[in-house]
Amino acid sequence: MIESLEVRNVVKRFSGVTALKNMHFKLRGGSVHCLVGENGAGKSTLIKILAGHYMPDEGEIALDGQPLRIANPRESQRLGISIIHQELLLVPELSVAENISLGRLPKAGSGLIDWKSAQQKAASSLALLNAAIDPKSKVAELSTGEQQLVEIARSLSVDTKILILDEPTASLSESETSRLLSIIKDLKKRGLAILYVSHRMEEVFDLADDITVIRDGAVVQSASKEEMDPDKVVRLMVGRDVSLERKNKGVHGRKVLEVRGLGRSGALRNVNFHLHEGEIVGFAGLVGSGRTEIARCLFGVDRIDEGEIILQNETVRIRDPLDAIRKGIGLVPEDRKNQGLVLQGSVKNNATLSVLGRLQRFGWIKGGQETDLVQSYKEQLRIKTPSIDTPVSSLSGGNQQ
Amino acid sequence: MQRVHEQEAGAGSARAGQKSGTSKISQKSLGRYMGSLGLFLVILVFGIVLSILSPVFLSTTNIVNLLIQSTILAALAIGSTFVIMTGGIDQSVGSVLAVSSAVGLGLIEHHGMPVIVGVLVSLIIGIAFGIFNGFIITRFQVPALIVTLASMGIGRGIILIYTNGANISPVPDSYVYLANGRILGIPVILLLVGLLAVIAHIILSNTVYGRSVYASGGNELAARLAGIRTKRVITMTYVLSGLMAAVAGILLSARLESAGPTAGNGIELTVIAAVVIGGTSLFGGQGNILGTLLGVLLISLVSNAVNLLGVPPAWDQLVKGVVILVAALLDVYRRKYSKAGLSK
Repeated sequence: MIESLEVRNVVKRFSGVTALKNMHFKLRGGSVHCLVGENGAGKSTLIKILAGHYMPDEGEIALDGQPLRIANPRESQRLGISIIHQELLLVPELSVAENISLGRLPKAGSGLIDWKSAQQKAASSLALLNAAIDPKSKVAELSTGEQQLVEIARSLSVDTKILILDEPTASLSESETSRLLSIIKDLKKRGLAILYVSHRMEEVFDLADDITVIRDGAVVQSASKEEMDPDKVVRLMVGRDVSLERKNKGVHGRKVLEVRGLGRSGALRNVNFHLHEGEIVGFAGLVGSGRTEIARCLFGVDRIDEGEIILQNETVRIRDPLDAIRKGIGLVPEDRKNQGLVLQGSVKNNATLSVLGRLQRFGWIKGGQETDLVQSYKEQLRIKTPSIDTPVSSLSGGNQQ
Repeated sequence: MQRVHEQEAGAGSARAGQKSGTSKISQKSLGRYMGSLGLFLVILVFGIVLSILSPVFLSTTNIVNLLIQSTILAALAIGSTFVIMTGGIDQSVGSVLAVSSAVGLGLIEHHGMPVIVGVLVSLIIGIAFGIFNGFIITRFQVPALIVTLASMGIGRGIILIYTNGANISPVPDSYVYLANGRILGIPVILLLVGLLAVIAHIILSNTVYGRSVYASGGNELAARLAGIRTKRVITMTYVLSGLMAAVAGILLSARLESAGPTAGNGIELTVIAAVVIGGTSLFGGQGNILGTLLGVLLISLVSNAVNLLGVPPAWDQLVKGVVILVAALLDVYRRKYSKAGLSK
C-alpha cells in the first residue's frame, strides 16, 4: 500500500526536442488515475521515466512525499512499480506458470524445478483475477486478453504497489475489455495505485477517480472525475472544440477503387466495397477480423485467391508493394516500428524510402532534391525533429508516425 | 525475493538495452565517422608501438608491403560488407576465391585461352556463386549461414576435383602485372583495390541501391512495404560478394604466380572479423566501407607485426585471435561510453 506517487514538474528533452515540458500529477493509493492525451502527447515518455528507463532532466518523482530517483528499471521494480505495456512481454512457447514465475521458478530439494509449487503459485495469482486459465497451458495458445491477464498475474505475484497500464484495451474484444475493467476496479479496492493510460472516454469515465489530460508534453488539467466530462476532456486533449457527432456529407468525386468478392483462404471471404475521390472509408472490426488483411491484399503484400480489384475502372493485379505504389496506392502500416520504419535510419532516409525511384538518375540519388522534398513534408506535417538527419528512433511515437 | 528482482531487472535492462540500442544508433549517424575514428586511434597506437619496437616498420618498403598484403583481405571484406549489412553472412568467399581463380587460370594455361577470357570466366564464376547463394537464401528462406557453408564446401570440392590437388602455374606476364605492375610508382594492385573501395563507398552512400541495402538490413519488412524489392537487393549483395571474391582470387594468384586448391582456406572468418571490427553490425542496417578498410588494416598490421618482431610463425594465429578480441572489446566499450555520455 502506498499513500501517493507524485510526479512533480518533470521535464524531459531529447536531442533538442522537449518531449515533456511540465508534467505534474498525484497518483493516490487505492485509486485509479487516468492519463489521457493524443498520440505524441508524452504518455510513453512519462511511463518510461516511471519505469526507470529515462531520468527526468528537471523535476522529481516522490513516493509518499519522499523525493526519490528511479535510476534504472530494477529500482522501479523495487519500489513496487509494475507496468503492463501495449506489447506484451511474455515467452510464448512457455507455460502460463513458467511465465508467471519467470526467473524465479521454485526449486525442489533435488535442485530440479518444483512444478507443483510453481503451478500453485500461478493458480493463486490467477485466482485473484478470477481468471479461468490453466497454469499448464502454453501462452501462445491463449487469446490476447488472456495473455494480458497472465501478465497482470505476474505483476501481482511480485509485490506490486503501483500498476501502470498503457492502453491495455487496444487489442481486446468488448467482453475482454469489460472483464479487464472489472478486474482493475477490484485491484483498486485491494489498495493498489493504478495509472491507466487510454484515450477511450467510456473506459476513462468508467474507471477513473482522477483524470489528468496532457497535450504536447504538458499537463493541461489534472482534476477529479467529478470536475470533468467527456466533452471537456476531448476538448482539453485536442486543444479545440471537437464535435463527436460530426457527420461529414462531403461531395464525393469519381469512383477510384472497387473491390469485388475479394477472398484469401483463411483470412478473407467475399469482401466488397468501393471508394471515391475525397472519401474516407473506415473499416471497423476486432483484431483478427480481417481489417489488416484487406489492406495487405490491396497493397500486394498478400496474394488474393479470388475476387477482383478495380482501380480507375480497370481490373488490376497487384503483384507486390512496389507495384501498388506505382499504381498510386500508399500504405501506413499498423505497426510503425516493425513494418513502417528503419529505426536506425534518419528522418530523411525513411521519408523517401518509398519514392527513391523518383529521386534518382541512373541510380544516383539527387541529394538536393531529396532534402527539399523532406523539408517540405516536415513543415507540412509539422514533424518535430531537430533536423531531417536525426535518426527516426529518437523521435516521439507520434512524430515517428 | 532478491533473485526475483534480479531476474526481473534483468528483463528490464534487456529492454533498456534495446532502448539504448536505438540511442546508440542515433549516436552512430551523428558521428558515423567518429566510430571509424576510434578504430583509427587503435591502429595509430598500434602503429606507434610497432615503430618503436621495430625501426623497419615505418620504412616505405614495409608500409607498401603491408598495404599490398592487405589488398586480398580488403577486396573480400568490401564484398562482405554489403552482405553483412543486410544481416546476412557469406562464408563461401574463400572457396569462391580459389575456384574462380583456378578455373580461370586453368583455361589460360591448359587450354590456351587469352588472359582476358580467363579473367572474365573467373569473374563470372564469382557472380554465379553469388546468384546461387542469394537465390537459395531469399527464395527458400534458408539461413545464409547454412547456404554459404554449403557452397563453401561445394566450391572447395569443385576445385579439388578440377585441380586434382595440384597447383596451376606458371602465370602469364600480363596476369602478374596486376600484382607487380606500377603506375606512376604506385602498385597497380593498390590502385585497383582502392578504386573498388571508392566505387563501393559511392554505391553505399549515394545510390538508390545503397540506400536499399541499409533499409533491407535495418528493417526488411518496412523496406518491402516501402516498395523495395528486398529479395533482389539481398541477392545482389551476395553477387557483389562473389564478384569481389573472384577479384581477390585473381589478385592472389597474380601475386603468388599460381592458383591452388588451398588458396583462401579459412579466410572467411578473418573477413567477417575485419568487417565487424570496422563497425558493420552483424544484425544489419549499419556499416560503411571506410570502417571495413580500417578493420582490414588492423588485422594486416598484426600479421606485419608478427613478421617484423620475429615472433615464431606458430604464434601468428594466437596473436591474431587475441588482437581481434581486444579490438572488438575496445569498440564495444567505446560505443557504450559514448552512449552513456549522450544520455546525460
